[in-house]
Amino acid sequence: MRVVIDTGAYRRNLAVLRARLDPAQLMAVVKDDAYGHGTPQMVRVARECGISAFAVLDIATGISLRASGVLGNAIAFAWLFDAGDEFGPAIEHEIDLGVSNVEVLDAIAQNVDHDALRSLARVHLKIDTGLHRNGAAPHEWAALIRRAKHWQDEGRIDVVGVWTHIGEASAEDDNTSRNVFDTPLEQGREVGLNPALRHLAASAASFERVDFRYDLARVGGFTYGIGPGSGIGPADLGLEAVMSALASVVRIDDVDGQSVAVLDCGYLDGLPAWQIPHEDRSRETLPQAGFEVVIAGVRCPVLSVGADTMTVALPDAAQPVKAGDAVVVFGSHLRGEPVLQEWADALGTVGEEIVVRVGSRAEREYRES
Amino acid sequence: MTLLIQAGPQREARISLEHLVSNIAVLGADSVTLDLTADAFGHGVQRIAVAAVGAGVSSFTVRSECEAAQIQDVLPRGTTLSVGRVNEHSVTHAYGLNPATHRGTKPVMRLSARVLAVKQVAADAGVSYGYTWRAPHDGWLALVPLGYGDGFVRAWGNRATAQWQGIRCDLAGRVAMDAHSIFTGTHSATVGDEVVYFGDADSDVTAATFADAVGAPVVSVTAALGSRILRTYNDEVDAS
Repeated sequence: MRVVIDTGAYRRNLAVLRARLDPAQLMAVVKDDAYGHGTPQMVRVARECGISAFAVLDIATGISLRASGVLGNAIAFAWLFDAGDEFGPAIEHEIDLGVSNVEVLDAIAQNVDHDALRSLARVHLKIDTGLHRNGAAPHEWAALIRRAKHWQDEGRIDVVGVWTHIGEASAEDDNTSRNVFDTPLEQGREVGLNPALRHLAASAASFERVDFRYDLARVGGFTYGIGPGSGIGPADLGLEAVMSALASVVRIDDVDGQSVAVLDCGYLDGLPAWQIPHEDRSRETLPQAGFEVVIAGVRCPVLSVGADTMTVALPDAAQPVKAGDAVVVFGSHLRGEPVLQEWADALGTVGEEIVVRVGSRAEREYRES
Repeated sequence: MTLLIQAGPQREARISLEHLVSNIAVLGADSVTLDLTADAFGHGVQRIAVAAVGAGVSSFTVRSECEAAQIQDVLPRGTTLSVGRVNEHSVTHAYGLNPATHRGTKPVMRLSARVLAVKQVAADAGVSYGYTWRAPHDGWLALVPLGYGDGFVRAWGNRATAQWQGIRCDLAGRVAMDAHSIFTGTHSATVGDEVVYFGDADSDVTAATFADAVGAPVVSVTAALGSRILRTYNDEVDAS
């Protein structure tokens, strides 16, 4: 399978989203190899579009991007620290660090080299507002901000941000999280911390809710033209798909009078091969329904996804299809192609899961439309 | 320099070459054509091929000419490499993906990761995106850095279990791109603790258990695991 990355679509999505979020800043999320789109390539394009903040997840990615020169002086924000991570190099390469607890904060401050040219660690303190993953619990927050103020006064760190993640379970729950977020911000101000970057929202919440944008929003899925699902695709948001996945017809079979095309892609290319809900499933019902591919301009329903092949039904309108014909597995609504959100909705997942699985395995080609 | 966690790799797929050799013996080395598609279904093609040759296998296969070209150089001399369709049954057997139905086989891969953070939760607290899981009673969550960006299937959240210190723990809430949470009950895990998913010698949880939890083909489970998961090889076998 081959994927085509349309950097023009990425530019247009960034323009739409920046205009919408203004005056809040858009931090482009480029973790996980830019959701399978290729991090260095997407950062280069985003920099040309004027994006100056990037969420990179881990220190190694941030350092590699900074060292390659592609980032320039843009922010690279990392918050998931790995075994063996060293904060010295992260500080030297000016990686912004997301911190949830005092232990990590101390480790960062103690790695600041006072004699080095760049001697301040840039820190974003994280509060848990209900997601219960990382982030300081509300009762731990007072200790974290006092410690941060101490290290800032010592000239070791610069608290540039306060942030959280929200659950997006319901508007009501998100409102609760937002209200919870305002208390730690106020407590920070009381101890003398006035970070310029308060950030809470990702794609969906920042798109819909003005009051969720604060100074910055971390936008990943929407920049790649991935809709939030549950029927909402990129077309509904004025966005367009950046990744298209292409395959070929291997042969045409006749199955009980129905013309079936066998394609040269399957779950070993990362395509989802699970079925949810699964209450009434059996091995025999593995063939999936509810999503389609396009062959010669005609939509063809997917019958099954195997290890290295996929079968699709050929409607009469799709005749004659022959071996070697090109197939669009998913692509852009602007060309009438099925979009990720249709696949994701049928499979009970999100488009992000499909692109990270497919994009990391396929041969990638970049085009500017 | 301060190391944050020194216990071992954050995300690890430990490959038992001893079990591979044992599975090959069960199948009969002469009759095995070992499929090395998709980086030996996530096990690491080079080490798998060398160990298999040591166990008497001389015939290998992959699914495409393109993959054949990529791995030709790593195959030992005197072996043959063919191109053909993936036979899921043979793959499941050789890599020990479903020992319950392939008697005598043993899991070659053991998937684990280490706790990144712990958090106390009250009964009924929602966890992760959509709050699709709620704590059955007051207790502790552990955050583990495996997510669907690692090929750790998003739908395993609320549908599969992990093992921490021999205790079976729910995967609490949706798996995110880079992490998920497990519920360790009334006891708190410690940062750096190992959490095991499948393939452990002391457990009957296999890749097939995870596949069945979401109705997926078992071969897709290990093949999808990404490059952030470190492959380690703890049972060296003599390839000569």
